[in-house]
Amino acid sequence: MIGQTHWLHRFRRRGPAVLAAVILALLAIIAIFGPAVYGTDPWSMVAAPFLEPLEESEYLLGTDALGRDVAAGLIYGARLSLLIGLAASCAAMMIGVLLGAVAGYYRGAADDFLMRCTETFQTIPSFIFLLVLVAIAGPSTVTIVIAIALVSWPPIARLTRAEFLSLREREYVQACILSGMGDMRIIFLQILPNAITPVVVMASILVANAILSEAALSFLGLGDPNQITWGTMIGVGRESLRTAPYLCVLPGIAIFITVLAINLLGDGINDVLNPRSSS
Amino acid sequence: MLRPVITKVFRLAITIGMIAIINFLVIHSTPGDAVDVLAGEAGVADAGYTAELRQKFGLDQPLPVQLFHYMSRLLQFDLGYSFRHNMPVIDLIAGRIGPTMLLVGTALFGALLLGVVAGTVAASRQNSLLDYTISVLALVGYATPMFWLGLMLVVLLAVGGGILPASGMTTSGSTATGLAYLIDVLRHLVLPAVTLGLFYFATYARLARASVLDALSQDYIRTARSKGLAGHTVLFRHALRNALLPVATMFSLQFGAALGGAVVVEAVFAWPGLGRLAFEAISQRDYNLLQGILFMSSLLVIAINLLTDFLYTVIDPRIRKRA
Repeated sequence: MIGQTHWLHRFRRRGPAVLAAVILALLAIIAIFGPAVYGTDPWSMVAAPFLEPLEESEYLLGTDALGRDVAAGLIYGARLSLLIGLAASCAAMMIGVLLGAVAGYYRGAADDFLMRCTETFQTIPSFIFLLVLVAIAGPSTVTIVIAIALVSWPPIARLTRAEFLSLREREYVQACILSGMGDMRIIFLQILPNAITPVVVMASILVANAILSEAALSFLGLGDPNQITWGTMIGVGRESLRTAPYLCVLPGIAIFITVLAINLLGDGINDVLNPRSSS
Repeated sequence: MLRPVITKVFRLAITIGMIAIINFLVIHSTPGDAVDVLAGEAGVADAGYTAELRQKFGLDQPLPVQLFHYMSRLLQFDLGYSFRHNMPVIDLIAGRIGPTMLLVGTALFGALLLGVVAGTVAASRQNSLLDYTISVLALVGYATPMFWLGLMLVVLLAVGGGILPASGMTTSGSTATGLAYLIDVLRHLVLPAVTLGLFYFATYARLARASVLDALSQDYIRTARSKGLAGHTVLFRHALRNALLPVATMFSLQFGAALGGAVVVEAVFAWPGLGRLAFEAISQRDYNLLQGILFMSSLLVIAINLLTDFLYTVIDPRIRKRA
């Protein structure tokens, strides 16, 4: 109990992290319920093109070059950005944890081979790799998620391996081995629960990177053509950067706030979990 | 003495080989091969003609044989032929590496220098207004999408004021040479380099701050202080020097990421580099060129890693002794 109140106290002291958590909760609500509540279809041309923000009360954030509602696009974009960010980092975490666990638990040849693979994947410039993967697989939400996961698992694998290397020497693991427990049960039921916390923290920061990557892909025209995302809005808005800069400014601010909130929350959680690293 | 070098070279060779295999597999998982693209372009889909082409390019061979041919060609730095540009891929890449290295180098070194200075100053005045400002700037740098920052800089500085050029590497139609040419290129370099550099500035500032703070709490700093050394001598000669190691590691890790960032920045500023070439290759479905760029940029990362390893031995004499 004492430990818990201490935790909460530390967390409360970190104002930015709490603010970030509130912002993320709001974003999640917008992403889940926004499209249904707001109603306007982001694809349909609802008003005159290039209405500036606040020009007309019905379309508070203005309309784009085709007269589509910017606010509706931002709301749909929130859903897609968060979805892709979460899905991609979950997938990356699964790949990384699996490979890292095997490498750290079995050591020896398996470890050597998997670590060479990890190094190789870390050597290849990840965004260029991502571009090539998406260009070849064809841009869709699923291929983008898989491609982002494929380029972002190495840090997770390294961290998981390091945790496993140290945990497998612990007495409770030795006891499991002696009692004849199977490798899979030891890895997933005994070691993994003790190793997972720092991995999850790292994965939560991966969400921010995944959102930035997806936005950059969409900006370059490699986003899912059937979805409106913040990156796509900026890419399209770029055509009228001189006359209607708000078309680029608004989605950019949305990305900025989301990524900032995720980073702040990640920092906050990190501080709570490793009090010594905070200064 | 020689053993670590041999191990290192061996590991490098394995990494390069694995990169080549990944490249090969990725390109071969395309739905159509180069012949399909060519035939589609020419509007000829005659089966005999495409079979002939496949035989000519060796695309009718089993996959392992193709992989073997691919690897042996790579060893001769033959990256294939771009049918789009009607040029060997290696020549295309060679022409674009310079501008990209200029952009990435300027951005990373600028970010490193400013970031380390900012981080060190922030650490030396912990919890001051300056420290707070630098931390906030770093957070902003972390969260700003690079391409968006580029567009905003264009809006603010290029379109509005016309202060700095927002597109290309030289003024189009300019025939300036010598110093005038250099100044022209530098003016064009400012916005792309700032755009690419902000994120890395943020990283270095945060890292330098944390590791200088860490170094400042060590015993040898107290010793240096109690010897009566001046504050800045302790900070820069004792604390910073030890804090530089993690920064150097970060630098080599980030070179690859910066090459990726260059794709986006070059697309925003029409900078004639490797990233723009990659972007064009994607929209033209020029997969030979694309895999060549992927392979060469990976080699560049390896080269930079080697260079950083060497730098380590300069910064940290302990490593020199060990090797």
